[in-house]
Amino acid sequence: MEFLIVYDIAAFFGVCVIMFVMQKTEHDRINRMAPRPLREIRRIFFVLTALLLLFSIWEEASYSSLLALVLGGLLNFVINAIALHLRTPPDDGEDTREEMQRGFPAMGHYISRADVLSLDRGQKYTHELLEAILRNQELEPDRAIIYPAQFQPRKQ
Amino acid sequence: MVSGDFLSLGLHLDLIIAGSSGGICGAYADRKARPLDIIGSIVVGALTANYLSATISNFLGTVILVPAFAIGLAGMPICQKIIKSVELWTPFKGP
Repeated sequence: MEFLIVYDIAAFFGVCVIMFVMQKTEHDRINRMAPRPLREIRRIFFVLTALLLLFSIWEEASYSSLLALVLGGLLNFVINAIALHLRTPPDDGEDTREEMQRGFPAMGHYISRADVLSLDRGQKYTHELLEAILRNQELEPDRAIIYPAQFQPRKQ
Repeated sequence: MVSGDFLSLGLHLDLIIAGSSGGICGAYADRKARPLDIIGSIVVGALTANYLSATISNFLGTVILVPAFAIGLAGMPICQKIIKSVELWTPFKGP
């Protein structure tokens, strides 16, 4: 019986953590590389997982709650796997963290994935080009995703 | 379900779950909210739904889970309104 009480409390804590991660993901700059429908579906799956956890509190110690937990985890893993696959930049063998830290002062502007893909390989992000992109998207620089200057997208 | 144990503490699991669901739906709708605010609104919504749903359900004459969900959705503003009302309440002041 004590175990079930602890389970209920842990599940509720899990719901809070899921919603925290959902909102953190929404505010994450790198997350905005993913296409809009994918971000929307990921958000819905986060909510579904939280609701399934709440359902498992109600129907605890049963196969249906077990299925709900497995389904919730599976949904999140699948959608995150798709998002990771879609945003993977080419691997040049360098540590990405160091690469981005070096690139940040050089860029400091917002470029959507579509804009990046439309650039030719090796083309420099000139100041005029960035200004044009910003004007076209009507974006504020402080709400920007910052790409490393060395980032060269894969051709599609 | 161990609702008996929670009931002894005054916690109704069904109302807490309904209130939490309301908080989750509110969190989905609000993209701009900060992550910690979201957690706060879910917890506050769940607790407010637990304690206020019965009264509001009796007042409206609806099934108890309906106000529980609605209170969970707007738990934080409801609590702020109650606090403001209490601050303005001066029972011992003459006319």
